[in-house]
Amino acid sequence: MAAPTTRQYPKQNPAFPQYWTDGRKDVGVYNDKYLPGRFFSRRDMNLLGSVNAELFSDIVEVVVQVFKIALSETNVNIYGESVSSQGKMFYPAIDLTCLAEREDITGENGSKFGPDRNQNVVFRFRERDCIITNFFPELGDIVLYNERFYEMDNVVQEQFLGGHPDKSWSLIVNTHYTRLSKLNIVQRQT
Amino acid sequence: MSANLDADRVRWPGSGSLVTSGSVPFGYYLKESCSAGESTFENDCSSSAMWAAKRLGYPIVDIELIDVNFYACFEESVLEYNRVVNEFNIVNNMADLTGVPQSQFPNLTGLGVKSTGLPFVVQLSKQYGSEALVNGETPLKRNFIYVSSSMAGSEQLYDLNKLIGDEIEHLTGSRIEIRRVFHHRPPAIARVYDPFSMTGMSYGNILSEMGFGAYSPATQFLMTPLFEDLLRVQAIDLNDMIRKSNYSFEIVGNNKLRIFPIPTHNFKLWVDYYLEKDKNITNFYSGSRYEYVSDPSDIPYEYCKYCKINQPGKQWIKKYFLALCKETLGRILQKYSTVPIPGGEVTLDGAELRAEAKDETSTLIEKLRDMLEKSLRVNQLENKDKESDAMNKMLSRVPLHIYIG
Repeated sequence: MAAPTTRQYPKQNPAFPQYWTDGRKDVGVYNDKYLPGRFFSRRDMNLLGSVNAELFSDIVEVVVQVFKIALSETNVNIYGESVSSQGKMFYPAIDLTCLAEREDITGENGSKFGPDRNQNVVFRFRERDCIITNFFPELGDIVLYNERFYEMDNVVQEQFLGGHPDKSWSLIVNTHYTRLSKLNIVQRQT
Repeated sequence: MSANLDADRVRWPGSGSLVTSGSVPFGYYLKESCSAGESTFENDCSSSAMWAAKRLGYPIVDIELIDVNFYACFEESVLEYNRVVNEFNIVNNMADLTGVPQSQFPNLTGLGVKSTGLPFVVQLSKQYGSEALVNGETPLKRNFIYVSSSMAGSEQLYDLNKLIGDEIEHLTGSRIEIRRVFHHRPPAIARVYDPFSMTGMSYGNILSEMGFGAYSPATQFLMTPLFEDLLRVQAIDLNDMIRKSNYSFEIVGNNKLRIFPIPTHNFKLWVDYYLEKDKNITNFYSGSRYEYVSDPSDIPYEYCKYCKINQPGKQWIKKYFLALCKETLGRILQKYSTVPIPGGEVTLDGAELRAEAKDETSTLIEKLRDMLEKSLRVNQLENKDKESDAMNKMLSRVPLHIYIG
């Protein structure tokens, strides 16, 4: 299955007109030279981006693989759930650098379904990386990190430089540790 | 990753573009005609950029500077070195060059100035000369007053204001300063042969000496040493001074001249004077503005040739360049006190870099000035003097009378 070709990132996709700036073509997504506000000019953003890139790519170097769910390829039942026998379908993974903030992993033994393990991890992506790699994280997408799969629960896009939405700086993804049985990514014994 | 995530990163890529007039701010040192083997500005600029980037941590860390930043810093370093050296030259040669026509030296950079500084001293001493009445540059003027001897009008007191000052002020607009009054007795030497001077040798003697005695060739000659004439002159002077009314004068009251003795005949009393305006006016070198060297701002020291700077100079430039790079990098990193990262922020070391750079540039300038000061002409002469003393001391301990056959 090929990677998606349409622009996934809403701000760059005309299919999401709510992200446009009142239909104006000289500002917003249609003019990449436009950056409102006196602070955080394009040059400044490039500099800050460079420092971030060095921090992410050369210093911290946490690389995760993210799998975008392929909705059109996933068969669903009458409830809109994926067919349990076939599972969810995902596009091939892409690599992204991020900062990972892990909680301790916990175990539950009291369940009548047997022991279970839980862990919440927050992945902090640079929005710029997501734009360039044409990846916009959404609920249900999977992150592979530390040989574990984490399913996205929430995507927070609230870090605006200078308070300006056009200068969004990060995509912070809340995930939880998910079972391999729920995925259709790794071949498992049947 | 397939996508190029590094496309718009601002950082030193490892090498710079060609150093041209477009990549340096001023381009004073570009395209110099250098001899073979001399390093050019362009080459050193480029290689120094790579060196400085490595000294700052490249390629282990990113350096948020690009070639034009490095090149600007390098050019500024050369300019700074050039400036300090030129300032030293100006200080060293100021006295020799003040008043020299600009056209004589279109650019003194790279030229050794050989001068004793005497022209400047002579120029200054002209004003002292005026005060000492030894051919200064202020014109000394002369005028006279009439001294009357009539019984009714015999005057000892003469109002210089009234008789000379007011009239000259009316004509020239300037007050005067009397510097000399010619009121003396006749010179004693003229009376050596005066038979009435009591010490004279009589005209008979002088006629004989000149061959006119008794209308016949001289028959007697008096051989006297010169000091006898001098003693006689001194005797006449003392006689006039003590036994007669001495010629003298004094300035009393409001510019009044009192003369001694009471005049017994009419004569002109001459005085020398300066116009105050001639003395007080600041003297400029003649000519149009900026025709002559006037002050440190127009001594013609210009940009040097980079390739002619020696190794210590170039090393200084490189060190100063590195400090400037630190300052620039620090300024860039410190534009925002903290840098936002996803979900947080980080603080960079811009402030430390700038502090370090400031310290280094100050030290470098101080050291360069110190070195240049030691090579000031006056200090070199002092050193030579000490060297000479030391040499003499050393030689004094060498055993004498050693013969080496």
